[in-house]
Amino acid sequence: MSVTERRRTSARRESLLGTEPGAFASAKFARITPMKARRVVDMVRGMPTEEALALLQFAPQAAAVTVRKVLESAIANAETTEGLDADDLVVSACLVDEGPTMKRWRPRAQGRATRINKRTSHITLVVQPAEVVAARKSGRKSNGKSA
Amino acid sequence: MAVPKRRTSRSNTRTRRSAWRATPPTLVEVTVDGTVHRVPRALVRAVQQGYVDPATGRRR
Repeated sequence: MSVTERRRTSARRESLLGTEPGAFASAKFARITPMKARRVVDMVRGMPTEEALALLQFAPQAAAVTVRKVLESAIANAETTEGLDADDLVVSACLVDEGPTMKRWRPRAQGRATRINKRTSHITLVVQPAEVVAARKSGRKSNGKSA
Repeated sequence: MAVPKRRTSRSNTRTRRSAWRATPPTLVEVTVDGTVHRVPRALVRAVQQGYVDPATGRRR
C-alpha cells in the first residue's frame, strides 16, 4: 500500500502523539453516552490491536460497534498515512469526551415534565507500534526508580 | 414504586461509577480454512460446523 506524504501536522496529532510514531482516529458526536463508551474503551486500552478487534467484535455492549469502527479507522490511518505495520500496533491511548447533549422532554403525572438527556460522545483512539509503547513504559519506570 | 429515601453522596456515586466495569469476553482460537480466528467458547462448535461466520460472529 502506498504511503501518502504528510504536508502538515494537526494540533490534535501534536497533543496526542507529539513526535512519536503512531496514528489516531476519532468519532465525533457519536450517539452513545460517554459513561457507556468509557466502559467499553477501558477494556481495550493498552491491548494489541488484533486482540482488541476480536474482543470488540464479541463484546455484548452496544458501544463496542462504534469503538470498533474507530479502531479500524485508526489502524487504516497507521497503515496508509504513516506506513506502519498493522500487525504490531497497540492501543496506546483512548479518550472519550462528552459531546453536546440533546434535551428531550418526557411528560409525567400532574402535568409535570422531566428532562431526558440524549448524550453524545467524541471517541478518540490512538494506536502506536508496540516497541514504542514498551520503551516509553520502561523509560518511565527507570525514571521513577532514580527519583 | 421504590423511591430513594436519601440523597447519594458524590463520593458514593463516583465509587459506584468507577467500579462499573465490563467483563471482556473470553475468546479461544479456532482454525477455519487455515486462518486462526478468536471467538467465544460458546460459538466454537457453531463456527466449526459452519453456522456462524468467525470473522463477524453472525449467522450464515
